[in-house]
Amino acid sequence: MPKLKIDNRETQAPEGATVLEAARSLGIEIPTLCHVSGAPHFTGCMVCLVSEASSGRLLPACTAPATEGCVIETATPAVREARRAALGLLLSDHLGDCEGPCARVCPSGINIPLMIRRIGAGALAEAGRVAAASELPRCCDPERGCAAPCERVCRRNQIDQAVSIRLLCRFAVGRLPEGHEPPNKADVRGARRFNSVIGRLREEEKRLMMEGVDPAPRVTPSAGEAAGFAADEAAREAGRCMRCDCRKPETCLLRRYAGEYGVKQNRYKPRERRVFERDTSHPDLVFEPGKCIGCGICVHTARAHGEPLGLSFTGRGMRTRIGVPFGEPLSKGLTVSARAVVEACPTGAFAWRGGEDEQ
Amino acid sequence: MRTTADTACCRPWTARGDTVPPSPPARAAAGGDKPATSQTVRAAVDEIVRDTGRSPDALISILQAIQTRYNYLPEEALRRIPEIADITAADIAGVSTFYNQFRHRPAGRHFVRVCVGTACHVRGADRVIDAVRRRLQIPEGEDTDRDGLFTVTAVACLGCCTLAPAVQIDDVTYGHLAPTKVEGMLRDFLEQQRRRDAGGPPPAAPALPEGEIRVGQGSCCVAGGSREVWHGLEAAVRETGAAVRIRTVGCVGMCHQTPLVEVVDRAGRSTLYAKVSAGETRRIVARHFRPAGPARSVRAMLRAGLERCYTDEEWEPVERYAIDVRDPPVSAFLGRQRYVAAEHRGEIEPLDLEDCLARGGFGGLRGALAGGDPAAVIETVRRSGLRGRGGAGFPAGEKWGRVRAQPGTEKYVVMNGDEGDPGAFMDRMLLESYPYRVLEGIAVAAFAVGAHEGVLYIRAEYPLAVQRVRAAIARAEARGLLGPDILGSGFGLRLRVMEGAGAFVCGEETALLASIEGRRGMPRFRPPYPAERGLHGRPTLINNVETYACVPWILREGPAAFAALGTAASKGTKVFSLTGKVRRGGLIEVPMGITIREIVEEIGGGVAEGRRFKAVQIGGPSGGCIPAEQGDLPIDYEALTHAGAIMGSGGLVVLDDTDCMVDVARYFLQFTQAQSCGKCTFCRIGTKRMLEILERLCAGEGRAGDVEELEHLGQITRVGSLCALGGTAPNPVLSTIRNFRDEYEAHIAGRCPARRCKQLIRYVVTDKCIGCTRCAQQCPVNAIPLRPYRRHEIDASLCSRCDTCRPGCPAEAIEIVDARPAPDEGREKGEG
Repeated sequence: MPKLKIDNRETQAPEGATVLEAARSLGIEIPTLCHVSGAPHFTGCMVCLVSEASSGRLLPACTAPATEGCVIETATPAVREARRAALGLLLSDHLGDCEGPCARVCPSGINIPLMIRRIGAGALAEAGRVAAASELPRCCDPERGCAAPCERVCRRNQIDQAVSIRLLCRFAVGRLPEGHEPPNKADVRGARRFNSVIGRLREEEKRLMMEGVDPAPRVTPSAGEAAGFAADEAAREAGRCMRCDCRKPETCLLRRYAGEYGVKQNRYKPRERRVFERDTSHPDLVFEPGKCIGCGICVHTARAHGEPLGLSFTGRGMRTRIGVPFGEPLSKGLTVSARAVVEACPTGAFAWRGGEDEQ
Repeated sequence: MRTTADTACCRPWTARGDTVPPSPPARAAAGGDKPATSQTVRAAVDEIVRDTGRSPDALISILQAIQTRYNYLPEEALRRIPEIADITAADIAGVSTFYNQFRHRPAGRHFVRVCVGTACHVRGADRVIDAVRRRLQIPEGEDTDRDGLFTVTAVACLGCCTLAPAVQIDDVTYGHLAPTKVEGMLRDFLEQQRRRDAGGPPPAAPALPEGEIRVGQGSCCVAGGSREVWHGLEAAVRETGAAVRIRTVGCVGMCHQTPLVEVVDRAGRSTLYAKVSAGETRRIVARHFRPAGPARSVRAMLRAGLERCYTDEEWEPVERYAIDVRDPPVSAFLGRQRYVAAEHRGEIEPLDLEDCLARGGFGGLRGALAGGDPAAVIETVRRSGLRGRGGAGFPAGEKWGRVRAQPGTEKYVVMNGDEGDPGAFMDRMLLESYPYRVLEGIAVAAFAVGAHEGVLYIRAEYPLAVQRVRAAIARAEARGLLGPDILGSGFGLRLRVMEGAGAFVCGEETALLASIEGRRGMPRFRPPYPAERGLHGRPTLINNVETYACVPWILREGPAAFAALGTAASKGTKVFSLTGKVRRGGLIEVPMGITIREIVEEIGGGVAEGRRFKAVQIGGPSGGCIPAEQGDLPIDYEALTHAGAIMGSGGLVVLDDTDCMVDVARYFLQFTQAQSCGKCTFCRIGTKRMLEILERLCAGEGRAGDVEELEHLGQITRVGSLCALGGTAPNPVLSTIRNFRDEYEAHIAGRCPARRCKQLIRYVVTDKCIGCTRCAQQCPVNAIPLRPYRRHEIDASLCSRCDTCRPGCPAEAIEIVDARPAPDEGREKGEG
């Protein structure tokens, strides 16, 4: 049982334990992305770097063995800097929006895409609660008014016309259940969270993003603008939303750590941003390579579930991708392990079609 | 310059070139014959797997065999593997897309492999590859011409740096190319093909022991045309009837003088001829060996005379090429050297086991086995001070001791022959020329650490080395020097060769082990070190080729003799491949402690063409640039590391004032970036971001702060990467920033001081133009309108800066100038 010191605290680790395990036993948190307890070490993401005090060497805590007498520091400026750099580099090769552009600019902080999805699913009371989560939406407040930045930035604008967000919002608030107290105006949302942004779409990306989205033009309320949408109209308009937001915004570890370490998305700007891709060849899940960090957890998970085809890394270096062997569809690669893969994937790369909000 | 390489080179990736028939399906793909049916493909895979075995280890060998057969990997064949072997579909997809060797699309009938190694790069390989692609009209993103005749690929290093820039088409190597010579090269190749289809060369004549002619047959010599010279000598000897034995010998090291021929006459006098052409062989033979009878003599003279009349090439007297070893420049080249790993260079025939034994070969092993004390062997190696020659310089005796100290009886020895550095070919030469010495070193090590099984991992790009080592193992086994009971000692060792599949990262020991186990060559964290947990989880000794090659000498001459060479911490000798802008390039073995200047000036003869010696790049993609001002730096592990370079495996590329240091940094980073396995964030993305900045700099899009950002990224990648590939990848960048920061600043300002970066230069015609129209005729992109007898002009918007016109101008009227006028000319940045 080796004795070691982590952040000035002595501990005894079981034989063969890693620095990460030893630190966790002391309640010291170390971020990890590519690590899975019980799986072989991958040692790829490098966000778990810690410093060995005597040499100043940075070690990946998930793999480095806890050895007798070693002194580890997990929170020095050098360690934080290295982790921040690792996260920044991962984000420089990351393509995806954490939140939809509409939600990012909404002065009332409404999770607009979620609200729209609730309307689309007919969960109207739920939609109303999303719309009035922090305050009464400004667009519903005749005294304050709203310039509707959400509709200005809506990606659908790049195709034809923005989704009628304001009308949908009003529609949703009107469906708030009886007795629902609108939240206190002072109770506005706190500090902004980390947000990854794609930016302007290219032509082929627009086509891809429109897959499965209602191509019809904007719905006009038959009873007039002031009366707003009827239920069927609202549902149709909701079908026009392109669903720009990530399907795993709350569980994504990359987003969480980026926030914790104060990483700026454009710290390491690529010369050319990568292209949006989406694989929908599985009935239940969606794979977005732009959000993949190459941690290999899905490859391992599929293998551990005994998938005959499973998943594999293909290519090398920056061109490494995840795919089903022989170019087969995801439905053939993940016959029994889809759930496990979605749950194990640390980012939004593998997600349920409906996203985490519909689980 | 052109020649036919050994048969193993015939197909680019010959796993078992000697046993597998030529690849008809490749022709089917290109020529439109009947494609292989799915049944025959499956049957072929079944047969391959029967040979290789069905274990996961065999995957790379299986893929190599499939590719040898079909020239690419048909999906049908890949799908068959999991059905009949213990290999998953995911492994096949992962491995077959990891290694450069494997193709998933059919290839053309012939492979044009353009070397983009360091030496070739600094001599304009990029222009050559552009010219080849342009000539074959290969569209962007493709690699094969429309007719399916040629597939063009860039290869990291062909290992004939002294012929730079070099191109290999199937088994034929062309050297000293330029864009203007591409057309002729392709024509010549097709002409050769036609001739070869017509009939093969005559069989060799029996040699008689009355004088001897030695012909160098290292890859450089072969590439330089030594096989044709050999045939020429043979014919000449037959004609004169002289009783002369013609022998092939390994690399002589004077690769800039290839092909080399040494003649030992009846009296034992030796004369060395350099740069011999096939046409000169008759004169050489006639000079030393009198024809047997008068009739023969007349005939021989007549022939020579006729040839003189009818060849339109100037018949240069052969004496001009004969260089005596005692001539000052040559003795400097050879005299400063000390041979340990390359002992008896140019004297022994690589595969002649009798010759090897007669010169004391396997004496070290014999002694070690007779002594029966592995610990004593390790102590001898420890006392010699031998350090790992693969790059990091870990003390060999220490490593051996650790493997020996591990419990268990199942241990392995591995030879790391995955020499992937562009611009380095030491290991190739040692394996090709001294296979028995390397085998002896491995056997001694195996005895010392207690291993009974070993793997020699050799790059597939070195087919001649693979072939010779395989043959050497077979012959040594037949003589009881390897195998179950070596020299009756009871100690047994089984060795096998594994061919690498084209991944530089496999030079990293944990990646190499993964590759031997049939997996993607991705490194893992150490500890545990391979000495504790290596191949198949067993204690494994991994050493580089040169390290093993030093061992027999140490055992024979004693550790003190080895330790007497070199510096305090770096003992013995080191083999370097000296290339780039030196007059005399080649392989050299020098005692540690020799200075860089001594190597460049005394051995290499200084920079070529009267240019200024600017820097040496040592250690390849993991190394750094040492400026000429630090030329007194000794060759020593610590001194080189301190100077920002590394000893590395031994690439030593000399740069002159026409070499742009930003471009050199970009070149190396491009290499490592492309070779990154992609596992860890810093190496995968960090090097990519660095490369993007360097590309911007070379394209004139540099920004203030770029150098600082490079330093930041370089530093973080160095400390944060998982393995040494990523950890040392920033070295070429950081060391050039350290020593040549002004060049970086110049690039930010839009100027390339060395006038190398294409987007920062312009070609102009000066007043010296005589209006001969030669440039206009040669320009591949029609950027120079034809204007006979008047001064020509180059349209900068069309000019591709291919550098075809400038060297071809008889009046030296074409100059390279900055694309962007200097700021003091009153124009703003951004114009032009």
